[in-house]
Amino acid sequence: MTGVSAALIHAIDRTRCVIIAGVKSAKLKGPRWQVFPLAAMLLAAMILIRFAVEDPDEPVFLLGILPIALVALEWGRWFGIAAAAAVSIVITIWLRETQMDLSTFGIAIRYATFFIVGGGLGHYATKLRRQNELLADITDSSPDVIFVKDSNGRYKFMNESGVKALGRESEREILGKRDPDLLPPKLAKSIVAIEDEARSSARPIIRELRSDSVEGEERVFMATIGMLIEQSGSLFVIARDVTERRRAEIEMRRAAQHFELAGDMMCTLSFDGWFLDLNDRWREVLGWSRDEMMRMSVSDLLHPDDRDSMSERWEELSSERMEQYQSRFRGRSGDYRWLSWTSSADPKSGVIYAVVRDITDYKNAEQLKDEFFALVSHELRTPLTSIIGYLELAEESELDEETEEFLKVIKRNTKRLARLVGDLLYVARLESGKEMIVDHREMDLAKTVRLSADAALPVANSNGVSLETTIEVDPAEINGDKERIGQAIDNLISNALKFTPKGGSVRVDLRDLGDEWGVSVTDTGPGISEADQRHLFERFYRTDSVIRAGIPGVGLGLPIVRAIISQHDGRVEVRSEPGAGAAFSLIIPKEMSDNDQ
Amino acid sequence: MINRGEIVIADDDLDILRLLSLRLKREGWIISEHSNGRDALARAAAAPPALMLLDVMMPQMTGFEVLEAIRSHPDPLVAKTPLILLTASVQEESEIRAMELGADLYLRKPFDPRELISAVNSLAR
Repeated sequence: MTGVSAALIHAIDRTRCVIIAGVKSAKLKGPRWQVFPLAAMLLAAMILIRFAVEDPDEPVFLLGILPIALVALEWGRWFGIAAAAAVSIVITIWLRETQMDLSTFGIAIRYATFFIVGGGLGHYATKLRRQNELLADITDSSPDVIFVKDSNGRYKFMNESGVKALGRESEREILGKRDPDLLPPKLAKSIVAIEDEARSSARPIIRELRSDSVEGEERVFMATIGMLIEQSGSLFVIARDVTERRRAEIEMRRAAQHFELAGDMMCTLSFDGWFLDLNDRWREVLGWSRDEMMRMSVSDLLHPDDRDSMSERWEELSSERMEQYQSRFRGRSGDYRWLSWTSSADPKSGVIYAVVRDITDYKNAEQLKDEFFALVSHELRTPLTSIIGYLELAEESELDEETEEFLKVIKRNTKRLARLVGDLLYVARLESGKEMIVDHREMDLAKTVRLSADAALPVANSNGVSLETTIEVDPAEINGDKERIGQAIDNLISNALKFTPKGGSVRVDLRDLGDEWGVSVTDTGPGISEADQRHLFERFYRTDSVIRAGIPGVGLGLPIVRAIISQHDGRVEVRSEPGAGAAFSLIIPKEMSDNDQ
Repeated sequence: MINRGEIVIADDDLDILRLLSLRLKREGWIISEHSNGRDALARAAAAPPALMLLDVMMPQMTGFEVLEAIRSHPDPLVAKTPLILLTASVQEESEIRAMELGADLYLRKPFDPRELISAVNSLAR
């Protein structure tokens, strides 16, 4: 009986594989198809039992049970047993109908017993099958390549990731094959070598494998290879594709290299101001060691006056935008260094990335420049005040005609010098980026235009240039600094007169443009090329033709015009064509926006 | 020429001091000239003038310091002295400071003498 049961179990196991394969393929095709293998099994059972009744020999009976047990196996424990019992009753009645020489009850008991045994076996086999399926589900859902090979190196199992990695459609194409049939020779050879190593090792080993994937791109796998103790000679491999991770590691190493190589200070910070990482440049600039820095937060080092502005900046940090700001940090010696920060942040991971430059020297130079300008301005303007003042006093005395003429020349040049000093200081102040105080008061633009035009009349006359003024609206009131606006108009008229040849004309117009006033100065000079127009408002820019023609000037007039007009929320427009004169227009809004008042 | 009140002028640049003095004398003012802030303050406290004209950058006491001392003087006649500050500085901040301290006018060098004279004439008491 033992031999019979072993044969039975063996037969069940074999047949099960066929059924599972059938069911599996039926499952793939849809639930409706599952009925067919089961129906086929039932039919086979009926036929076998029919033969068995004619020659009631035990093993044949057992064979008759087998398919039914398999049906039970496929349908599960309770349902299988119930189904088997139901079938046994039907068969018993059928046997009775065919007038078998057995008591109905005896046959029923016998069959029921076999079916219960079959159901039990079915239950056991189901459990086994479910375990196998669970294992298959788990391995198939793993992104790792998992496979099992027997002692001859033939594949016994491979999960879906593995099938995909080999560029195959299904496991069936792989099972029973060996590496040389599936893999490029080099990879196959290296795998064999590693497998041999694993076979001689008591524990699973971990090795790196490189493979050419189907797309021809090199891929790197981290493989765990070990022996399966239950199945002698078989080994399992779990291989993880680490190509991307490898790439990321190389990228990280490169970033780390740059981190240390950079001439600027670099760091990552948490949002509450702790240093997460920093390069060696910090030590060179501030003097703190890396460990000391890592134990301090930004607020320990930040100048008290810079705390508010820095935290304000940090609140605005985001990954989309880079922020730039400056702050003072305390060095180990107690001195503060000016640092210029460029940073962005990743709010998700809570990390701030920063590249920081030491700009202390630059800041000192800036300050020196400011002090220098303040000094120069004072030292130049004080004597100029005396010169002009005494000249005016002298003019009021009784003088001969020639001396009076000489004094006029001295005074004209002194005023030019005074204006140049003023312009230089104005530009220096503009550059320092400090807020300029603009003396905005109610003023009449028409009067300012007329004053500037009248003042330029003597020069126009002596140059032989006609100077016409058209004032469309009188008065034209705005809020502004009449000294500055006057200076802007003076500069434009003086430029126009410089460039207009004898016999030409300069026109000064004041127009009402609706919400704005337009003051334009138009000349009949040589005009300005498009290339030069782009640079006109740069400090100290002088066109080649101006330099060649020896026209005096330093190239500050137009930058100052633009600065003044933009302080009044206005703009400067240029229209010119070479050979056809030039027109400069100051467009000033009648009402300035409130925050400028 | 009519005799008007006294104007206290202080400037460490003697040329400018004399220039201012000459200009204002021609307008009929009596001038008290000082080359530093402390002397000017002493004079103004002793005999409250019609107006004070002070340079900002001066030895011993700057124009700002004199201005502060005048405005906080216990004698209301002294404290209310009309006061003009003169400077060659371009620092915008100093103008703000002058106004905060109570200067009546803040003039930058080089200034137009006519502007100065009309300012003095209208501010002096």
